[in-house]
Amino acid sequence: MFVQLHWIDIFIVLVYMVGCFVIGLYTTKYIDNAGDFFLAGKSLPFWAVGFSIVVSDIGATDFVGVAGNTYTYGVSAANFDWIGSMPAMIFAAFIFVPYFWRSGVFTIPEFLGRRYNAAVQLLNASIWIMVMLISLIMMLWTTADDLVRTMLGFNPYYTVWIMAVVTGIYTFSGGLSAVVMTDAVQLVVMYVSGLSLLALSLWEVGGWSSMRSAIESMGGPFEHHFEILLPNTHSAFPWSGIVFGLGVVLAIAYMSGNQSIVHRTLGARTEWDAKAGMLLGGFLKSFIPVMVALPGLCALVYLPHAIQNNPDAVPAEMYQMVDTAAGQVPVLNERDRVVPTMMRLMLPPGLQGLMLAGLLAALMSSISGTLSSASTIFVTDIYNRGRQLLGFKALNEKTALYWGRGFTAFLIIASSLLAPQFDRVDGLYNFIQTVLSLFQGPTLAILLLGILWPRANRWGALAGLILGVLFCFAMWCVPDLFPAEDPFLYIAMYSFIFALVVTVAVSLLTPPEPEEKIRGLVWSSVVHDPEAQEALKARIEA
Amino acid sequence: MKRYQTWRMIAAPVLLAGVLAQAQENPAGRYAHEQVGGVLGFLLRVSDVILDGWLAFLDWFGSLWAPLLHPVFSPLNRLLSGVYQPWAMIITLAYFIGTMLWVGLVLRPSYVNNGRRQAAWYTDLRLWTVISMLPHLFVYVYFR
Repeated sequence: MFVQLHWIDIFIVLVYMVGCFVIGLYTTKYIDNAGDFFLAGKSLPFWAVGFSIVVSDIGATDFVGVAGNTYTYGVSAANFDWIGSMPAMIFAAFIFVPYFWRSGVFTIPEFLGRRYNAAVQLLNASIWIMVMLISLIMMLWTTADDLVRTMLGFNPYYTVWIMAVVTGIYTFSGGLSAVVMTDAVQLVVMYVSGLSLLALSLWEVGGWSSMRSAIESMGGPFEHHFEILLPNTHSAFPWSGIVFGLGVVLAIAYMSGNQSIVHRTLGARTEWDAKAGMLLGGFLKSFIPVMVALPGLCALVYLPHAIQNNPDAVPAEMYQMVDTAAGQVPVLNERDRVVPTMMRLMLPPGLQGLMLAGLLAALMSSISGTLSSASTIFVTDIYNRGRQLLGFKALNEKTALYWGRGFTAFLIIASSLLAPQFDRVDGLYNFIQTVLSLFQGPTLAILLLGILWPRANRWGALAGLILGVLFCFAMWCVPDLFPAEDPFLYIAMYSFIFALVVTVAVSLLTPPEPEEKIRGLVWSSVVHDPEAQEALKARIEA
Repeated sequence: MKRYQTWRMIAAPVLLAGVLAQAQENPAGRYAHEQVGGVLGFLLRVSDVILDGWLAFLDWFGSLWAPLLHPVFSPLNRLLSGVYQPWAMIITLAYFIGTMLWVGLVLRPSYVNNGRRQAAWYTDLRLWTVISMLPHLFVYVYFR
């Protein structure tokens, strides 16, 4: 039932793993202080920033989850990498990135702390740490259980810990430099393997036109599979949720307020490299759905043929027969097992190893990126800030470096221990989106108002963030509140509006921030005030 | 730096021992808490209880808010479901094109390209914006 790896596959995977490990450890020699560890010494060129954004964003969960969603709902699942990335990445490149870059901050919560107060910073940082922990757990367990176990039959415990040890050690040692250097290699491996799977899938189903007409002839649950924007009555991804919830709120919040993404641009060598890296990332991301989503469509045509030719190709308990206009078609029960099943049935020796290396690349780059960002947030916004609030001295460079590395080790061990608990979760991509949606709307609201509206103050931001997250939580807990099965798109949209209104109302009812405090922290002064710009430039150079 | 080399040398065998211990306790490769003994089994069962408690809390919290939120969102849902479907594509394409126009025509070129080392046409980020947006525009037109 499981794939027996050929020696050449094992060789490819081992070369990849050892290569990443060596490259990651090699960068250790460039790490002397916290600035080197957390921001790669502000030396990253645009291509490294762009590559790193793409591979940190795209994980094995995308290969598995997006393909699974496409199998069930069609190309509309690819919206998350199209409208869910590009306009938002342009806004990030030309509004948020230059702004953060010029103000010389390490993290988004640090900016919120300077703009509002320590309470907003600590709250936002704590939320991000929780979300990053959940994301790490999901990434590890998805790859170990849904992917490697389905394909190879390996014990998921082994896979989780091996991934954790390899990735954890090089991130622990080399910080952002190691992450970005390995990301460049991982991007190439990921693209080559993903495009190989796509090419072979299309070959097996007789090409694009043949596949499209075969799926369209099925009708019934597959009638909308080639519509990118589904009707508002559709239960999965109705267009109003996609355009407003994803395109306007979730995507902008993710690309501008997610430390894992913005972190790379803060390490760029110039403001131009930071912006160009974001645009390059957006361009490369436009091809991601082609690799991760289209194999899900091919599976709809390929798997019935595979089962017809060999009834033992897929165990009977893994699928059910569904009535369509073209007759009864076998459909897998768990959509997240579509890609692993395709890989097991379709790929020849050599390509299996390459694909496995590609998936491990996707996983490891996301894990290392998340670890690096989480440790930066923990040290900058929770530990160091907490010490200062309690009257202790701020951490020096060396001590900050120790704490950054210590937290990296703690986080990866905790994630590995907790990973098996997520065995209960089905539809993992939507699960992660749901977790993100619970605070992305309110975070974007206070971030946007903090940048664009000088009148926004600490009380407004605190109320907007706390009440906004509570509002999200209440919407999430009420069943059948929205027409979608997974209502995270609507939760993000309405929570953003709610937090915006609360922040504005509370800010207007309370005293404004002193002008000296917000100078250089709001858009108008950062972009148009030469004095503020000089002060910021001096701070960055210092 | 030597301090970290020592850390790594200690951490790696400890973690690998953890892998072996966990995996051997669960040889089927399928997670089943009741099969795992010792301290690890105890911790897993405690985490089960916490998770079940959390799920029960979510049910209770949802029932508390349902009477308040349903009357607010039901009319909004009806309003959105009645919107003419082609508006979806019009709004989406306008969003993409509007973003490109904003960068190309509204933002000052000196701001867009601030920090570039070489002033050449191929380093102009207005051009990069258009090129990076085109594949996205294409797929929305193709799958309309």
